[in-house]
Amino acid sequence: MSNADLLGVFEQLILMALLHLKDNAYGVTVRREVEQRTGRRVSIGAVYATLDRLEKKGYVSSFQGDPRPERGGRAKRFFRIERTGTVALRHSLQTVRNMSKGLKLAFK
Amino acid sequence: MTSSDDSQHRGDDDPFRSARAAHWIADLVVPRRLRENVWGDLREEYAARFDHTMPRGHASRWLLRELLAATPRFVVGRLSTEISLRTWLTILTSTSIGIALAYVESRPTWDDMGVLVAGIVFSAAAMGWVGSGFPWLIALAVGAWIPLHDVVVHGGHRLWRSSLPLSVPTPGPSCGAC
Repeated sequence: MSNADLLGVFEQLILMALLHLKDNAYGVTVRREVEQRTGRRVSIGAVYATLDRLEKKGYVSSFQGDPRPERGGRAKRFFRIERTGTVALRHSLQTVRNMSKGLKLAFK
Repeated sequence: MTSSDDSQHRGDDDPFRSARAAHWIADLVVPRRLRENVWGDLREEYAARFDHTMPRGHASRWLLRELLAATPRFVVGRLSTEISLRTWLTILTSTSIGIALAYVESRPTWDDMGVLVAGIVFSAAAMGWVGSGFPWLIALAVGAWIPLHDVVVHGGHRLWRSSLPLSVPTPGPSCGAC
């Protein structure tokens, strides 16, 4: 895997959210998952822009669900992590672990 | 589900129905293929976070805030995924034409507004015809330089006058793109 395949931090967060959410990953739940687990506010634009980029790279795929009344009759767009996405995520996390190995970070 | 069913679901209880400004922003910045998903997500989130009995103005303000916060990411995403190489080249050419026209207009010896306006309209229309889509961006690329030059050099004293060329090319690319 080349250096160009290293994921950004937000891309990692989104992919991990997809893994947590399994079959229920769409805009609202992905955003909520990242917000709850990181404690930072995330815009819907950031979520979709990142999901779109990951889909273009082939790391995630998406499909339309059925229209729902609580969404004003609009359909959900569900996202699913692909095998290449899992590999890229594992590689990125391993890289971070390798870099941090041996460092004595003062967490107080 | 048919379109009539859709419209029934999007009926009178839609808290975003009157949020015209937010609809306008969404149409402008959110990529077309994402618009329905984003709108559905925001509607669902609003319903989950807030009481339905809240005044409609509250929904509009919340929606506007959400869309404004998301705008930079949507615009960047839209520009990178929806603009073709041909359109990028057209925007680059339009920018060059716009700068050339602004240079001509800035010369103290130049005093032919009619020729300048015609030049702006025709070049903007031609660029709109050549480029595939984004006429507003082409209009900006052609027409923004004269008012910009005015602001930088003259401190915007004649801004009302120099802004006219910005409004002139706007219909040009739209007509050209048709």
